[in-house]
Formats: sequence, C-alpha cells, structure tokens
Amino acid sequence: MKVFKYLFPLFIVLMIAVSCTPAKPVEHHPRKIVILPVFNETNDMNAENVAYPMVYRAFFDRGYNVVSPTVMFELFNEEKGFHEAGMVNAMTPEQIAEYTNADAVMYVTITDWSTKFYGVVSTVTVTMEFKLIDPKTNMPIFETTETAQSDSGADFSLGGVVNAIAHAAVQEYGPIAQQCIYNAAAKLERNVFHIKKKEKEKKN
Amino acid sequence: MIRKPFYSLLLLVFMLFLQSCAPTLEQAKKHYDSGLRNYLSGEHYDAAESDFKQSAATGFYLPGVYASIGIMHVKNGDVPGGIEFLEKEYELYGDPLIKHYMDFLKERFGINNVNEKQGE
Repeated sequence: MKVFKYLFPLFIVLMIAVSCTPAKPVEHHPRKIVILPVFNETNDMNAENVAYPMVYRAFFDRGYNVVSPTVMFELFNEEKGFHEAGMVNAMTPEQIAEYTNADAVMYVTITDWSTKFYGVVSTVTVTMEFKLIDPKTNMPIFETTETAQSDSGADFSLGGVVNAIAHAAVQEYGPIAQQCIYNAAAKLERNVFHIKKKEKEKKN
Repeated sequence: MIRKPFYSLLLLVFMLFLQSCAPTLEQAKKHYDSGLRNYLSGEHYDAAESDFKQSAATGFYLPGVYASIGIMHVKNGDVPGGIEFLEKEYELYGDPLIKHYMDFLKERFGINNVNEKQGE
C-alpha cells in the first residue's frame, strides 16, 4: 500500500507531463498538397475569397503540386455536400488526403481582417493561421501564425484624422494578406530545406 | 556594306518586339487567379470562364486551367463539353481527382461516352 501511495502521485505527474508536451512537427516534406477552403473567423464575408487564390499561388509557385481548387470545391460541394469551409472538418485529414490523392492537408484560418483607428492612426491588420498536416500521423508538418499590418502613420495635425480615414478607405487587404501568405510559404520552404538536408546527412 | 548589319539589327529589334508582345507566364497566372477569385465569389461565373479561357489562350496550360474551363461549361449546362475539357486536363496532368470528378459527372448525368454523344 505504501508503494501505491508514492506511485500514484508520480503516475499523475507523469500523465500531466505527457499530455502537456507540445506536439512535435513531423519531419516530412510533401509533394502534393491540398489547400482546403479557407476558414474565415472574421466578419468580412469576402476575406476567404480574396485569400484563397493567393494561398494557392504562393504554394504553387514554390513548386508544390497543389490539388486543382475548382475541382476540389466542386467535388466537396456536389459529392460531399460541403457548402461551407467549416463543413470540411467532418472529414479527417487522412480521409481528405485519400480523397484528393494528396500527401498533406493544409488548413488556413483567417483570424483578423480588420481596420482599427487609434486616434489619428488607422491600422489595417491581417492575421492568418496555417497548418499543414501529415495525414498518415495526423500530426502537423508545419504550422505558423502570420500577421501583417499597414498603418497611416501618426500625424497630429488637423489633416491627420483625414489622412487616417483616407488610408483606411483606400488600403486594400489583398497586399497585406499576401505578405502573410508569402511569409508562411517562405517559412515552410525553409522547414522543408532543413528536413531534406537532414535526410541527406542521414544517407551519407 | 552598311545594309547587312542594319537589317540584322532591324530583325533583332523586330524579334524583340514580337517577344515583348507574346503572352507571359505571369499573365497566364494573373488570368487564372482572377478566374479563381470570380469563381469563388459564386456570382461571376461568366467572368471566371472568360478569365480561365484567357489564361489558356496564353499557351501556358497551367494545372487546373482546362479543368476550370470544364467546370464552367458544366455550370452552364454543357456537361459533355465540360467533360471534354476535363479529359484534356487529365491527359496533360493525369490527376486522379480529375478522373474521379469526370466519373462523378458521367454517373450523375448518365453520360457513357462524351465522343459518342457528340457524334450523334
């Protein structure tokens, strides 16, 4: 009984330690990826339509074989009956990869797509989360959260307020979102480069 | 004596002019992205089809362009025409998902062979 008395707290501590360990990214470089419909958590209804072609372009231009978006959208819509981005979550990454013949599944979420006013400064912010999942292990190969901003600059003169309003009105979200997306694509490329390097070293 | 180099230079300038007029890969991508945006908006399918066709007209057959034109045909009710474009895409890139989509369309619309149907 005494042994149990000491072992039980130890067991609890071990359980907590194991469950709190952050998931380690899987070292795997995918060739064919499927970029799922962008999940939009913001109030801007058009944000995902602006972001999706950019995400597709960024990863396609970096040499990834990206599943044709129109075919994927049509199949999800017509065959599976997914009419919203969130409905894709009904399928596991493994099922999605099998369905689309992809090596990895990319989830993109827009968490911020807004214009804020701080006195005489207006700031346009875009924040996006990217998660590339290995369907075999269900673990992330890569994940990042990118934020890009553009502000009008502080101008405390009378024209400052006008300038801030004009900046907010004229500023398009596209180029700011593109900055986020290209940062994420560049990070993934660096990640893959290190994985390939490690693989080469292992072989040698 | 002067003529030969002059004509060579003229030819070179002409060739450079032709080259600058030729569509570029960037233009093909730009049209494709624009088509994708219009398609995703769910309202501008005609504009999307026009963009995808313009991308194909550049001669750079980017993956997904023929498939997208095919889908636009299907959306406009021309299913056999759409399947033809999808077959072109499948011939070019061999993506099994395209084949799956073609099979899905054939089953749904009761089409056995596109060529046979067109020949009738």
